[in-house]
Amino acid sequence: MVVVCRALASLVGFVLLAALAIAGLAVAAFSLGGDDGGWSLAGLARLIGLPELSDTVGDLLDGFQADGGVDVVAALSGIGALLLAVALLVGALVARRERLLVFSRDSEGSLSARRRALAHAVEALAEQPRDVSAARAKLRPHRRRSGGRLRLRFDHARTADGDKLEGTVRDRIASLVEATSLRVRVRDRVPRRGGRVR
Amino acid sequence: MIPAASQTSTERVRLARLAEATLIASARVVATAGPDGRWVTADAGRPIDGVVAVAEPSGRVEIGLHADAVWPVDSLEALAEHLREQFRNAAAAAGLGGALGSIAVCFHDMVEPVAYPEPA
Repeated sequence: MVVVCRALASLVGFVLLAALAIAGLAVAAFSLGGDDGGWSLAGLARLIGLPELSDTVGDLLDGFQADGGVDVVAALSGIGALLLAVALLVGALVARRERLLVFSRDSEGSLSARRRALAHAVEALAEQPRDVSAARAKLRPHRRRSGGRLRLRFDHARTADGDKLEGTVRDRIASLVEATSLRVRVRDRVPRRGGRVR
Repeated sequence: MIPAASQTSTERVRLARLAEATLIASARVVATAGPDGRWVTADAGRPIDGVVAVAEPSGRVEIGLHADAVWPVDSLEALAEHLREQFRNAAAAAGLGGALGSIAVCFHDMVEPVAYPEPA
């Protein structure tokens, strides 16, 4: 969710900066002229239709203040704008958290590894047996204490013995994960279609 | 002759230099400053990549080693312990063993070993 908010904030920030730069350039250029001629700030306002926009917005705001029932479209738009603002604030202000798996932490120091790097290493080790066609590892570090959960799923040929292969895969990744306080869960799967075994 | 900059360096920076040397000496890791250069220690304008040295209130210096492990990796714990031992020995040899605090090791990625061309 935060990733989406960050992407949205980046996109909106980029678009707004570009718009602000263009607007600033236009205002600066039209400021060179004087009086009420075409090449002036008043001329720029007329050129982009500010008086008409003011009238339109005025009518819209008058409509909001008018007596009667709640305008559903306007209410939903307002709620949407609020949600968008909250998402942009989250995207802009929430810092990206480094997802580290902490192996151990004591007075001597700590040992940690980036989650994705370790998951890729586990996948590479799990794919070493000949009958394994693909492996996918998901690592979830504990938020406060050391260790975490590792879920490893590997694809294998229909003819291969899944249980035996699971033992082999566990042996392969053991050296990398045995020192960690990881809870390892390994599942095997036979791909339905299109799976290839090296 | 010792460079003038070294004579005036703090224990923190001297330990950071030793940590850098430890990382460079190991063929099993590559120091990394991170994508936005977060893990560095400034040494007279020269950044020491992959080392974060922090002076603790106790007077000791906490060292963070940030590195990519060179694939294949057998055990990250053994690799980290090897680095710690090498660094402790280097610090002790330099007379800085007493100033050394905890050593944090963080592996950020797995990288392929670099093949250097043989000299002609």
